[in-house]
Amino acid sequence: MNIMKLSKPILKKIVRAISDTRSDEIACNECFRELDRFVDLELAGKSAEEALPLVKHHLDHCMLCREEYEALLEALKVTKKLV
Amino acid sequence: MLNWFKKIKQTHYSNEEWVRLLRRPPDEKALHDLREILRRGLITALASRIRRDREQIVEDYAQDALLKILDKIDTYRFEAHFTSWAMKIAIYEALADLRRKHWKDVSLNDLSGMNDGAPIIEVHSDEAPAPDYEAGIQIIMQELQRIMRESLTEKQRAAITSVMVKGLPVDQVAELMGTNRNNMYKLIYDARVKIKREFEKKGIRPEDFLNEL
Repeated sequence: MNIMKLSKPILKKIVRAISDTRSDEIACNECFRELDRFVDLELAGKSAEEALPLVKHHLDHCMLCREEYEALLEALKVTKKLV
Repeated sequence: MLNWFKKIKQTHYSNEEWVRLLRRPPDEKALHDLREILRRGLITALASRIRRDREQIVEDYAQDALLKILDKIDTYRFEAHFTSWAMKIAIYEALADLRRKHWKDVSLNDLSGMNDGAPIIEVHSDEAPAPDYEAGIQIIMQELQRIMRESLTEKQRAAITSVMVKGLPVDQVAELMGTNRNNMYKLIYDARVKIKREFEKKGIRPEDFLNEL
């Protein structure tokens, strides 16, 4: 029998993902398309979340896109003064 | 002195200038400047992810990214800064490579249980659960397993089990399942929608359980 142990944090993550599921979600490629604009808005001190709410929702639920977003933000903070 | 401490002169190209200068045949100085920007960004963003040979690895990533950027330059839409767009590509490629290396030993065996029906999922905790909590967990777990068994397709079940339950990375699972990351997201999304609808039919509001978990 295939038995899987599930920790409370994992169960919570799954339940939250189900709870937050919405009909207009975007997939990773659409998020990627807007990611540079999203980060530019943030670095300009504007509300990226308000301008691109679906990107924000995706980033909150997709670990890989989140990782790319955080790395991009970090990289652009460093290179901002060079460009 | 480490290369990345070398002083990089400021570049003041506009987005239009970057595109014009990098279209083939690319301008050597613009190429050099962009490589330096990418390298500087990557070395900071990837610092915690690369333990050894960081300088060389990042140098290679910047060079590889440069080639991708030149190939894709006509897809740049002028909606973000050119350097943000370019860095996005560099980050994406570098992280994809690092993940591939990190998860290279994941095999189809790690996805076991995907094809032999829904797994029996047990919640474990070191704490003694409160009776109400335990009852809530039982309801949601039983329902989750029933939905996985009865309503999800084999692929949806595999995706949910491997990514959400086992926590394996989406892109590696996608590769093992012969698909891509975007399709995996859609597969998991469709599964989440089904689970949510089935919960609703039973009057289960997942958000009510979040406070208990």
